[in-house]
Amino acid sequence: MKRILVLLLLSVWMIPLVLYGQGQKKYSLEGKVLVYGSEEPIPYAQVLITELNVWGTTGPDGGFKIEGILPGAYSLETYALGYERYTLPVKITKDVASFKIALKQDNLQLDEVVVTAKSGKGMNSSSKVNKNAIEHLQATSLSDVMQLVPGNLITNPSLTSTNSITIRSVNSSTINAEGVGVLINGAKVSGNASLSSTAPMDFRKISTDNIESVEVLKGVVSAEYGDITSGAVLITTKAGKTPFEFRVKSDPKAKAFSASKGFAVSEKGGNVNFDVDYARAFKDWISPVDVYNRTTLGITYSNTFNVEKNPFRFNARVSGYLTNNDVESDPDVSKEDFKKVKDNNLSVAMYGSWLLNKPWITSMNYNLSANYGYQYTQDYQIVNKNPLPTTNTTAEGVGLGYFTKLQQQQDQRIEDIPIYLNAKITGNLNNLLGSTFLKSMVGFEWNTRGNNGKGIYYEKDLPQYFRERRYSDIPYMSDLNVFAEEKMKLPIGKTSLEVVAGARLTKMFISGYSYDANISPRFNAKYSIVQEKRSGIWRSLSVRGGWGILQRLPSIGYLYPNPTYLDNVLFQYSNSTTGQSMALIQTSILDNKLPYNLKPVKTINAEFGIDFNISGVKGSLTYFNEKLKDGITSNYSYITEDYTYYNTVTDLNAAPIYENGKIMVKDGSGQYVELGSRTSREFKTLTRSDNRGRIDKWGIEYDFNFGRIKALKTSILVNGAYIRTKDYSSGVEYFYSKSQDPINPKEKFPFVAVFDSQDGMSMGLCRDRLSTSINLVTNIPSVRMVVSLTTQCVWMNRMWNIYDEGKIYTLDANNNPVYGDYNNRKNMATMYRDPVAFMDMNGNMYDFKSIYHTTTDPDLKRRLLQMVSATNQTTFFLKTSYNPYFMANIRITKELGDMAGLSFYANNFTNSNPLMKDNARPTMTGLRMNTGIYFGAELRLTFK
Amino acid sequence: MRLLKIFATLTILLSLSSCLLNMHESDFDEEAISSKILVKVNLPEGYDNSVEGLKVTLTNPATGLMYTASTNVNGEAVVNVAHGTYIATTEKKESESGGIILIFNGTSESIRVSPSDPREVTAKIDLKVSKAGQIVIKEMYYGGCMNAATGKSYNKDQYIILYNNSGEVAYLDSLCIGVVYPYNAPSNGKVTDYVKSWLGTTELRDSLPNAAMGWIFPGTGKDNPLNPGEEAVISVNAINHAATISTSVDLGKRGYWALYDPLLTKGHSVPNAGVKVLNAYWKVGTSTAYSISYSCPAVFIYSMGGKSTTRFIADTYTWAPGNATNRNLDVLMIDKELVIDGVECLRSVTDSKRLRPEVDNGFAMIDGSGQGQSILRKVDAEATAAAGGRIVYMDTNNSSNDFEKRATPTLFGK
Repeated sequence: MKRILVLLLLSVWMIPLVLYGQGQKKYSLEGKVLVYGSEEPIPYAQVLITELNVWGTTGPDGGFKIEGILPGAYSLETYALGYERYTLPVKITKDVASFKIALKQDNLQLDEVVVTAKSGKGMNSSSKVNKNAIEHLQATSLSDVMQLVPGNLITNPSLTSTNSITIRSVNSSTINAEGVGVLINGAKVSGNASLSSTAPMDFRKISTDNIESVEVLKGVVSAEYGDITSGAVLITTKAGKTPFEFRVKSDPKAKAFSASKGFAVSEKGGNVNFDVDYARAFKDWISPVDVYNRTTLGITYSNTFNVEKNPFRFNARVSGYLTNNDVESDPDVSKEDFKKVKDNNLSVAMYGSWLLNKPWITSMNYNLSANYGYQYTQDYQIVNKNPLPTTNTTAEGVGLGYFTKLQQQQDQRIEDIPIYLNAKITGNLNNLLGSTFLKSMVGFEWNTRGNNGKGIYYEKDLPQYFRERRYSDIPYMSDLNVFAEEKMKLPIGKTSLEVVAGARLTKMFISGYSYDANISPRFNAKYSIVQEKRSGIWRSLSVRGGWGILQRLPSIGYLYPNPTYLDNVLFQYSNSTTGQSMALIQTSILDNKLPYNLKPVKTINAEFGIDFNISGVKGSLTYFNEKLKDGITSNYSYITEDYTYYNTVTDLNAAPIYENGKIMVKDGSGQYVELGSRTSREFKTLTRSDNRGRIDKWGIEYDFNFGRIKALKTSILVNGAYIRTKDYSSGVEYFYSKSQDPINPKEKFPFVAVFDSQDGMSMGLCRDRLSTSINLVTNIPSVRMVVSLTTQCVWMNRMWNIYDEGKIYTLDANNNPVYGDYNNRKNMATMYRDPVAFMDMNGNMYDFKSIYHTTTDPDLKRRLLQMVSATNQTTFFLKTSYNPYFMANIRITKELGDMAGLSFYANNFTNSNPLMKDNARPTMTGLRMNTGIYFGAELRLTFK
Repeated sequence: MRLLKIFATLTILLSLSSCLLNMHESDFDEEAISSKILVKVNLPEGYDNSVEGLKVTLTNPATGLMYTASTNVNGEAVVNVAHGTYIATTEKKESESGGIILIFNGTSESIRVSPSDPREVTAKIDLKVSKAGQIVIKEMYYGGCMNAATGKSYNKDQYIILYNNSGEVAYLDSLCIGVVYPYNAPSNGKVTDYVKSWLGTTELRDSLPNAAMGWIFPGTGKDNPLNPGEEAVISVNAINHAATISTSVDLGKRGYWALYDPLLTKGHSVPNAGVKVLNAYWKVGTSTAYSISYSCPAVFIYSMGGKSTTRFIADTYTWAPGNATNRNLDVLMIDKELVIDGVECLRSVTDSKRLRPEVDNGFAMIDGSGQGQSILRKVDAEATAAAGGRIVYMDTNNSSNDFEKRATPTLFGK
């Protein structure tokens, strides 16, 4: 089966090759790239035919040559670092020589400077943020850039807390919502081999000053991207000749410095780029006890070999970061405690492409990367705790332990060494069949990740029941991917139809589990009704749609959870007079390795969009629907074990001993007698993560560019989104309260409740939000200044509990259940929700409802009542909602000649933090809306 | 408790008057001028205490004549009296398990004996019962101390001292101790959930919510006597804290008590040998330690009113109002009549109270947790003098009057 799938994928390549690959006429394009208004050549400029992915690089004289161009109309993109990216339509029907391209210097003297996210032109939705926009935003971390994406809200930068990235999400709280893939120069950046925290990748480690562009891919992304569920962020770092640039950024809580320079090694020897960044942030202005430091370093070598024929582009980047977060305890509270977190990283990547122009392959992209992380945490605490019995045994059974000290020096260390290896090779083939253009892509990708860290250990006193578990004991996980995609562009009269069909096959390998390959099919189509024009009323019109499956593999932390050591104290005695102390502990080890495969998290994505340009007003509207399945949820399973608890002894002369598996104490006459005991059966909890998580998400994104009002030199851009998510789970959840039996408080509660979806009153949580961001961008080239005023409007921001239809009841005067519709209304009576079943200590399952509501056994009734969920919050099933609220933000960038640039921003500069009442709960304390007022400035100095 | 004071006064008065008694008896010729009155003492319904040996006093308010006699096993007393109209009174106080004093008292109707009446007249006294606590909460050390070595506060050394404030032997057997929900006093104008909300008032309910766990002294009735003026130290972690932290106290001494259950309070240290343990008779939630607020606990002692623990739990177990979602906040509702003593601690005068005025009409305060301070009952100098030097503490059911803040707990340095 797997072989057939692989063959199918490869056939995408083979069919066009066999059928049409022979003897097709191809043309070449030759020319020069010059500085606008002069004859000065620009070396190392890239000239690319976007649709075909064929390209050329300029030599020292600015000359370039692109070969292997199929006849047709394309867009030609020319790009050189420091110059405006220039795209122009070309029609190639014969060999073209001496084609001149003039590039303007990229500065604020340009008529149109883009400082917002631009909708991409791909088949799936995307937003592109270029260098100018990042500079204008004054982002300090990658997650700051995300606020430019339609539907995201403005946040104040914070380097002292974890920065996460989500796409098309209202809340970032659930792990399942964060299936964003981040690729730096095509190399995957991941956080899932880091085992010391379950939080996803922290993006404050990625500085922004060396970033050339960020592209956010949404919807049904190309089959070449895997291990993601909600989109990808592609980051391109600067490579090429640049002047020395020095930047200083400052805001009330952070200071950052960065320097970068790109220089040519020799005429043909390529370029080397250096970038270095240092940032320091404080959590609180008045108390420097929580400090975050970040240093990033990067060296990129880039060159194109064999420029004349079959150019081979080679980039190598060595980069790394050193971050540390030191938290000293407030000296007013504690003298000695401190916490130091170091997070260092080194990555090496080689990437590029090779234009082969062979009948069987047009070009090849390659990417190899290795990433070594070193995260080290030292958490030193003087712990004042009453002495408790403890053991560190790693063997099962009953044995003697010892007691912790009243005052312990706990010096916790966490060594976490995540390692990632990634290799990806993609081949492209362009073909023309009549007037139908075909572009095929096949690729392989190999990923390996694991951890070589020591895990958590202690240098001095151990906390109660501590066991070491080395991260390096957890096996490495690898995945092999094969992907293929066929793109077809079919002209139909004046219109054209583009169809992309692709699939990705992933096989995951990890010792201890056997995973079958899974396949993620992806389809996109775009119908261009009006091809792009520069004038007229309808300047462009196209509709697009897509459907596809994205999958994310479970991380090793879920597949190899920590084993649970269950320690139960059977007897303890302490006598300060004789100095004797004794703790008898029964230890059982629960290996939490799952007896089944945890499935990859899967999203089924559908998207439908319309893009238009009417008289210069550009707009795009996208409906998306993303259904997440097999999300990772926590669940448990229960087995029982018997414990023999000995009676408490407080006699001064008891002198207990542990002999032949029994506790003996001295009786009144000084003779040893066996101590009385009681056997109790208890549930043991096994961690059993499963795939019950579901998120249903849909929304509409809109992005309008009303163009530039020349008189005011101002562009008006309006974008935003309505996003609605429903976060719930399917299947049943086992829930054990771990409390005591209400009838015999000395015994453990004897039943495990089984709930549909989840315990508690609600089946999950829904949220929705409608937001608009109105951007007025004024660009005055003559004074080299851009001012953008962004008004963020949140029209709707709601949240509500999911109602369990027909299962919620109240009680009448005779304590009989009254089922009814309690949703979306205020309910004065206490509402109840029953588990679907319950399990006793012998593993027998019983239906809950029929027994609970009919039993005449008062003790059983009282026990079962313990498992019933209830609420007397009258507004439990009402939607939390607030009136619309608004926030105004301003950003200014001004260039002082070619030497210096100054930027300033103020978020929420009107300091509007209205106290708003929840419309459903007007008597409750209100909530302060919007982020706090925040401002920052950046100075950029450039030395040619 | 006020009853105790009255009781003590009465006892003194009665013993004085019994001295006067014999002077009258021999002055009269019995046959000629006297009648015989038979007084039968009846217990209230539901009580089967002994009625033997009760001192029945007959007084003639007009002449001031007074006679006494003791009851036999049937509760009958026979007194020869001079002719006149008399009122018979008796009282009985008995220490019950759980540190309760049952006070029975009763008065007869007027009994008239004259030469024309029969020589023998019968009368009855129907006793009424009321209760008074002999045991009071003397001291509470709940805020912990400062550990100079670390600069952190240490509060695993909390303790409460119970004291027999009466002249009678008290029994700790079956006495219960609990903290009132919520653990910390509501602040910022909020009130506890346990108010008579159905009346639209913020008046506290007639029952007190006992949070988290219920503790009961062991014993079958008279196993754990507490003599007048004696105290019982109850701690959460009955170990010698002072051995490590010099500002702390030694709670591991022989004869002290511990709130400890090897299964229900796994987070407590095993008490040092020699320390006695209370029984945990009830627990909700998954916590492994019993929590007494470090800043503002409300602690009370109560009896189960003669019920078995199982019955008592079944009758008093209640879901937390306003918190039906959280089973860990369920409580036992203890009727105020069962409460023997209670002390309310607040962190600020603006906090809302959790104890009804009958239990504690005021509040006590320390400067904050980690200060090494305790609250201690003030000595009632008058009552102490009257008790012949046995220290009697103030007990007016108002902690604002009864308690004072101490810079160090009384056990410090002991």
